Amino acid sequence: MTNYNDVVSQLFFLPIKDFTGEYRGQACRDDLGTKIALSASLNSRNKFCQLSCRAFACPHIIAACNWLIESLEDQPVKALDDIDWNYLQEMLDIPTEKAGKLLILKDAIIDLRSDIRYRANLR
Amino acid sequence: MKKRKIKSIYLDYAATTPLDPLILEEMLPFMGNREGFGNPSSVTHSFGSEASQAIERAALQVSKLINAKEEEIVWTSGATEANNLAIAGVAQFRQSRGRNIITTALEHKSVLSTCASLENQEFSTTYIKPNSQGLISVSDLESALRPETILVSVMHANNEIGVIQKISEIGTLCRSKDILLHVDAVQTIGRLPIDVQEQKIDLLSINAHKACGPKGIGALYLNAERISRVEPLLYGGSQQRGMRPGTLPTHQIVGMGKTMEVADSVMEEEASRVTNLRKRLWGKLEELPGIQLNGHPSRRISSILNVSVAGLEGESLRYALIGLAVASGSACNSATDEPSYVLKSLGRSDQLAEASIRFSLGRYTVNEEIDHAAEVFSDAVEYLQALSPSNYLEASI
Repeated sequence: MTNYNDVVSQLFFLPIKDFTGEYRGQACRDDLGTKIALSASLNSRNKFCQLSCRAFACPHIIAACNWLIESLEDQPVKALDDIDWNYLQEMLDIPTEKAGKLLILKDAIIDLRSDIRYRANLR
Repeated sequence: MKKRKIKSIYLDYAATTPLDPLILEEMLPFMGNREGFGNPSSVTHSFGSEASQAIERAALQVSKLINAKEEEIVWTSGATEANNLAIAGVAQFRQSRGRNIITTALEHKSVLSTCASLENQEFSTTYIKPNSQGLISVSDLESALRPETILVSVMHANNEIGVIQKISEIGTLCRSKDILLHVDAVQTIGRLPIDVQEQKIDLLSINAHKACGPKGIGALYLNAERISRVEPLLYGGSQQRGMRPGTLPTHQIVGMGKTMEVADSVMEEEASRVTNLRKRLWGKLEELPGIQLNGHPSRRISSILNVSVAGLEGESLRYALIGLAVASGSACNSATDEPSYVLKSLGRSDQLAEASIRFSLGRYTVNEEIDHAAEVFSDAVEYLQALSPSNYLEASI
């Protein structure tokens, strides 16, 4: 039985943001039972004004998604490149065997970054 | 998702049950230093003979519940040992008659693993698959019988889905072919009437802790007219005719005897009360989007309700059931989870098998707990469905 720390508990139960932004990122691995979709909107200063996520995933990954969308708010797009994944894994006590699932979230972030680059032409 | 005050509700009676205080009271005198602490094999003095008499009374209580004779009861450490002893014991003792065993894909691991172990000793096992509702077809079983089949092992009711097998029909079939029938009755002892004579059962595995009795004690019934003995798993004493040597744990056996006596007296009333509770629970859940009942809708024991929810991730579903002590279709929560082989044998997909929850009710379950459990479950399903990326992507494209 996997143990979950208090941070996972707090983040897992955050209210779902009823919001769909113009930029999207998604990633999926059926064999790992994980599917993640992210959505974001930017303000005029190219900072994230709103983000939301949807996930078919284990509690650790749902908590990780929720933490990311909370922490990225009001941050510049570049913050997507600066996410400290080791810190996130440690903070949530994500077991090593679930590292592959965390990479799916990383893929969704990369996909979101690409969508923003492509559609907003941000470099 | 609603923030709730955590209130723990026990709905895992199929795993184990709380000990009935009445039964504990019966056991206590045999755990102290005043009476009945003697070795029940030492009948040359009063300490031992007192223990021995208590064990005889317990054998009578157990045998009465299943319509057997006291001398047909072999005490074991639990049902796992009873299953091992029944299958390996018959296989070894009767190997000159044949080396094939027939069982089902639904059985408990203690049956399946014993059969697998025998396969390494040049025995063969035939596994009968259930239909999508968890029922074993008697005609499928009949077709599988071979001249070298020595034993058929079928559980009375499955521990995950609660579906009751047609034991009387299987018993009649096996008896007509002179093949021994072993029944794992762990989930039904004290919940459903069992009559080994009428149902033509030759070996029956039971334990006490699923019926509000103590853990660590079980029994194997052996039809004395059909099989004189089985090969032991352990060696080193003449207790229980050498089939299961070792000093008998008097207090636990006394507890098991009393468990069966109490179960007998409350069985009918409890079956009806618990059936109503299960129906109440299903009535509150059946309208949830994506929910599916696992197992036959009516041919099931009163206590078990097993459901799957389409489109939900199993680990998160279990996690979201705050305060509910329930079981899932997955043994653990690691990244290498294996979905329930029982649900897979019914043809459920990996997703449905993983997102399954077993509610098992029992003697101390009350209406308020059912209502609260239904509310927690409904909230969890609603939350995880709202979180689902499938709906989200469709909406945003």
